[in-house]
Amino acid sequence: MTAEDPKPPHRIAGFNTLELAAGLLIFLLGVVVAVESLTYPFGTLRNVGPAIFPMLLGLILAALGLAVVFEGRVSLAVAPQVPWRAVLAICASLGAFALLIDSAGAYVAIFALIFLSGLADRPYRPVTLLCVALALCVFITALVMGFRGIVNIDLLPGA
Amino acid sequence: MDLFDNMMMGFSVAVSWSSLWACFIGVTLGTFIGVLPGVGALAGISLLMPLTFGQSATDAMVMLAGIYYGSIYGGSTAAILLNLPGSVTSAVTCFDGYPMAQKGEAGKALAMTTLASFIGGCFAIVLMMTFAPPLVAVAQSFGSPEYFAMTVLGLLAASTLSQGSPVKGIAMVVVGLLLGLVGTDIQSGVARFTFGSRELLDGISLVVLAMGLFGVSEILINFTSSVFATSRQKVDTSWQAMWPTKREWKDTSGSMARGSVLGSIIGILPGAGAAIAAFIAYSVEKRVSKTPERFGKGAIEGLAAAETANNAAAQAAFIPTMSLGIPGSATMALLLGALLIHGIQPGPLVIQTDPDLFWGLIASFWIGNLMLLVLNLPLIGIWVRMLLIPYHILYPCILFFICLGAYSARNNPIDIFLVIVFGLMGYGMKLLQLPAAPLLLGLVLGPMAEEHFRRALLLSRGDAMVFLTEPISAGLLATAAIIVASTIWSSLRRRKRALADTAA
Repeated sequence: MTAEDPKPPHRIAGFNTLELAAGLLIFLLGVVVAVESLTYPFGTLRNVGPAIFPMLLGLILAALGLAVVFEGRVSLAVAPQVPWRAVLAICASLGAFALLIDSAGAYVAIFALIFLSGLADRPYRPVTLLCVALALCVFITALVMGFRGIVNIDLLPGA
Repeated sequence: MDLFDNMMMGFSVAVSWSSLWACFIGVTLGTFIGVLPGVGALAGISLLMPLTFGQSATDAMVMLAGIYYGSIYGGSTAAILLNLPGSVTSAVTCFDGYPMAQKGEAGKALAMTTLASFIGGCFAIVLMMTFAPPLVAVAQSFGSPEYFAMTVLGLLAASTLSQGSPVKGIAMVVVGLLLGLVGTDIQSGVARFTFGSRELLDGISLVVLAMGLFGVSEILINFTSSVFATSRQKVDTSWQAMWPTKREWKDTSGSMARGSVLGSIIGILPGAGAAIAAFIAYSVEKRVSKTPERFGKGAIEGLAAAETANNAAAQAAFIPTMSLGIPGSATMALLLGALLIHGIQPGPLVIQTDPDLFWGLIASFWIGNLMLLVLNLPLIGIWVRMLLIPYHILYPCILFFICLGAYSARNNPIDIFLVIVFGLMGYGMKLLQLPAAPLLLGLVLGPMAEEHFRRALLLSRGDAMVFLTEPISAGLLATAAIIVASTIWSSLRRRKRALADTAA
């Protein structure tokens, strides 16, 4: 099972860095929201304008951010190793699908998605990925043919 | 009798071909999602939600609900065979299910969980049939101040009772509420937090957010923790090996009864949910048992209690969701979101404006649970084989379905880019240990909360004290204040203890 992580948490001036980051992010978000809501009409208490509710929430959020920072003083949270390769590969595969779907059609987009997403895992398995991509192409063809008019996705470029 | 008439109407809706089909698809996909380790109910529902847009509201709800409770049925399979919970709700199932599998009783354990799930589910449905109408009657007298107070209480309870830091939970609810406000303000027409983007004028799409937050980030999290296991365990799926003996029925009947009651009560409470219900039922069972030392080593009572409780809780969670419009968990929030997408305002009026939806959904629970029984007992062999699908085939397919779902909603590639953004956000939140579920609750309830807040002030002619002078609203807000106070108190105490520990 999961072993106890022996790595001590990183700290800045006694604050757990991870919790400090989380708290400050929340605090900043709250401040940004509160400031941004100043630009909306306030209305009156009887006829509350669009500024009031986000303003209140922003202030509460900022306070909660500070609370997270202070709570985090005793936290033992440790940042896990981020698998950058997987993160990049998966974002790239989704992005490729989004860029290709309108111009190049579903088949091309699927192949781009599957082969790029395969980079996330090691070892790279081109044969398996080819099978997955072909299966999904069959699936989407059936979907578009079967639900003509409901699923409107171009299969081929410029179709 | 009223209830009888209503149920008859419900069944007449639920046995229509389209509803039966929706129910079947829902529970089958749900079991599939539950069986697959690394794909939770939340990710599954967000992925499959676009599938229901073409259906009627009733069929959509029947199907989504089926996915939800189906996934809880299925979650136990991976728990028993791999010691890996397919979903968090079946974490407790591992305690005794896996030891049973190691003793060669995997078939029996799987059959027991299915039967226990069925019994727990049925108990909670009866509870819903009897308790939802009176609850609705109370809620119908509620005005805007009460609604606002109830929403606040529901959100606070849901975010503080879940695991992890309650302060972070509340913070994420607030972030969710704010995300819910993005877009054009209905009352004044002012565009809020759109920062000049036309795409955001309609607000943030629930489907897109959920797919990123639970679909994409879940894959990234799986790559971070990288425990992929596949099962090679042999399972004896003969009827004889699976069906519990008379003695086992006798041993487990008490546990199932307790599990049903506990699970249902916990399921109604916001925030507690199926996972906690299973855990509490298990510890109660251990305390009640004459042989507590057997627990954790393959005690069938422990397994039965946990499984009845988590399914009872899963069904009972629909009580506040459908009768009050207050979801207790992120999954329920997604279902409410689906209702909204179909143009139905969730709340106590649903039972009057859409009685066929309300009672049809309840009737479909009976049918769905029965289908699951049929689907799971004889077909266990197939589900076991599903565990053999390696993750390197699974995740590209999940990514494809995410793209398909996000894109097909309005044929706009921008939505896929938004999924990436929310996926990275969800992953970042996970790294910072910020819970994502409360955020979704906030997103769904945000617009309603603001509307009731404004309307309450309008009707009271700007008297902000209205929330405290109305007795029900004051009571609800007082409960919310108690929750916040106890949270602060317990976190301060924990802090003091931790500081004392480090000093020592």
